[in-house]
Amino acid sequence: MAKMQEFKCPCCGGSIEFDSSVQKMKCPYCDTEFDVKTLSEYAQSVEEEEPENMSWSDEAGGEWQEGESEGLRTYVCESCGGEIVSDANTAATACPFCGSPVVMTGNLSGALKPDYVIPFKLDKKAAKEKLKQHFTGKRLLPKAFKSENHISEVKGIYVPFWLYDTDANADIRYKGTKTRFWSDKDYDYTETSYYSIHRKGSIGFDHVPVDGSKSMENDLMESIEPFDFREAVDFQTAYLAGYFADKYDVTAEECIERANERIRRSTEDAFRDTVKGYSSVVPENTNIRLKNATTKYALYPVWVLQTRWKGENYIFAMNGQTGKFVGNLPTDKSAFARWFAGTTGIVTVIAYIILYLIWAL
Amino acid sequence: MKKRISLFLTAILLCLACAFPVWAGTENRLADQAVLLSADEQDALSASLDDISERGEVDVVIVTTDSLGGKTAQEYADDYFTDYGYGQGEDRDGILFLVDMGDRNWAIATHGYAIDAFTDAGQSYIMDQVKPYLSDGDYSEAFQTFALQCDDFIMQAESGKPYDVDNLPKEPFDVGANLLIAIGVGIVAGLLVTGNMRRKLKTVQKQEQAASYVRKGSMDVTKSNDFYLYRTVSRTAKPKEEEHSGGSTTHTSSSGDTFGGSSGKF
Repeated sequence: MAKMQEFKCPCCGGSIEFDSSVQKMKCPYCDTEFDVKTLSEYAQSVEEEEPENMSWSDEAGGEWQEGESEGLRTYVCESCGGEIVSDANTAATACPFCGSPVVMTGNLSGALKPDYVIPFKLDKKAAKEKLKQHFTGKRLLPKAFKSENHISEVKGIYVPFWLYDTDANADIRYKGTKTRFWSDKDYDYTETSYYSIHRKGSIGFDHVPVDGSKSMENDLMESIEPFDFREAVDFQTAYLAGYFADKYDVTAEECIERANERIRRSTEDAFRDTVKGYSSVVPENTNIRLKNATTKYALYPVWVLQTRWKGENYIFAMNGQTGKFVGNLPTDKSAFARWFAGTTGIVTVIAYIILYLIWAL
Repeated sequence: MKKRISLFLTAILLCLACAFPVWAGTENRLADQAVLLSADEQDALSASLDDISERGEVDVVIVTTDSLGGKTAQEYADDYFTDYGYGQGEDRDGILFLVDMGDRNWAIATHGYAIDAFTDAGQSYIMDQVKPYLSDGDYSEAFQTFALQCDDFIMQAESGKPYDVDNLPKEPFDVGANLLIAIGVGIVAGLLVTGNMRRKLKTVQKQEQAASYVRKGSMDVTKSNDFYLYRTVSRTAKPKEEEHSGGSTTHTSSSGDTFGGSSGKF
C-alpha cells in the first residue's frame, strides 16, 4: 500500500485532498486546484530546507612578539573614555574624538596584535582640502559655520576593524506572480499565475569590516567605506609612527551580528537578482548558512577632524585610503525657511499660470 | 352701449390675433405671474429679452407661476408657449423658461429652430449656470444669466454649429480650486528642493549591505527552478461608455406640437 502523504496547500497552507471529480488535488479551504506532480515537487522543495546557521570560528588577532609593543603608549581620554595608542615619539595631547585632554596610561598591554594594516595614503593637507570641498555646494550650511570654523584637531587614526571572510550558502524559496490582462466587450480580466521559485547556491564575501571601537561611531565608519583590502599589509608597529591607533574595545564576537546583517542582506539581494520575469516576488523561506568563516583584526586609516560649534560637537571622517569624506553639518534654519518659501512661491505662481493656460487653450 | 362696443372690438382683436400668429410676437416676453421681480427688474429684464429675441429672431420667454394647475412643469411650459402664441417665423422659433414657485420646478420648452440651437447638453449647461441663483432666491440674477446664455447660444447656432456635447462653452476659470492646486504643487516642490539641500548636509549613514565585499565570481547558483502552481482569474465590469450622441430629444405637447425641452427642481 502506498504511503499516505499529506500535502499542504501552497496557497493557504491548509491540508489538501485529491478531488476525484477533477482528477486533481484540490484544496478544500481555498478551492485552488493543483497537479499532483506540481504538489509533490513543491513539497519536496519545502522539505529540503535546512535550519539556519550563522556562525564564525574566531581566530582573529595574534599575540605580540616579545618587545614588539614596548614602543607603544596608550592614552585615555578623561572626558569620553576613548583609548588611543601611539608610538613613543608621537605625543597625544587632545582626544581626537571630543577634543578633551588625554592622559598617558602607560604601555600597551593585553590587547591583541592586529593582523593587517592599510597604511595611510592621503596626508593631513588632503584632509583639510577635502573639508573645504565638503562645505561647498551646500546652500543650507550656516555661513558662520564655514567662516568661524576652526578645526581644532586633525588626526590620523588607525581604527580597529574586525574583518569577516565567509562563504554564504543560500537556499531561498520565493513565491512569484505573473499577471496578464485582457478584456472583452463587457469585462476587464486579470489573470494571476503563481509560481514557486527555488534558488540554491553560494556566494563568497571577503573582509567585510565592522568597526571595533566604541569611540568611533559605527555609522560614521560605515559611511567612509569601502576600504580596498588589496592594499593591506601585515601589521608592523612602524606604520604607527606619526599616527594614532585606537584600541578595539568591542570584541569580534560582539561585532558578528552587524556583519551578519549586511552579509545576509547582500546574499538575499544577489539571489533575488537571479529571479527575473515576474511581476511580484516575495521570499517565502530564506535560509542562509555561513561556511568557513574566518575573522581577522585590521587597522584602517581614517582622518578625523573635530570641531565644536554652538555647543555641538561635529566630527568629520575621511577614508585615509580613498579620500571619501563624510560628516553631518548643521542646518541654517532661516536659510531653510527662505528657500522653502521662495521655491514654494515661485512654483505656485508658475503652476497657476500653467493651469490658466491649460484652461484658456 | 359703450361697453358693448369695446367688447365687440376686443372680439375682433382676438380674432385678428388668432389669424396672424406673428402678431403675438409682440406679446410681453416676461410673464412674472409669481411676482419674483421688482418693477425695475421686470423692465430691465423685459428690455433685454426683447433685444435678444429681435436680434436673434428667436423668442426668449421667461414665465413664473405659483401653480402649475395640475400639469407637469414641462406640459405647463409647452402649453404656455402654444397658448400665448410665442415663437417667430414660420416654425415659431422660441425658447420658454418656466419657474414654478409652488413646487420649485423649472422647465425649458424649445420650439422650431430653438430645438436645434438648444440641445439637451446645452440646456443642461445653461441650467448649471442658472440653478445656483434660483436656489439662492436671486431670481433677477438667475433670469439675467438665462437671457445672456440664450443670447450666446443663439449666436453660436447661427454660426452653423450649435453648442452641444463636444463643444459646450467653457466653464469659467475656477480661481479658488486652481489656486489650491497651484499651492499644493508649490509646497511639494518646496519640500523636494529643500529636502534635497538638507540631504546634502547629512552624509553619515549606515551601510545596509556588503555588496562591495563580494568575492568576484564567487556567486554560484547550484539549483534554480521555477514551477507553476496555480492561477486565478478575476474580472471587473467595464465602465459603460456614456452616450455622446448629442442633439436634442423632442416630445409632443398636448396640442400635438413638437417641443424640445427639459425640466427639474431647484
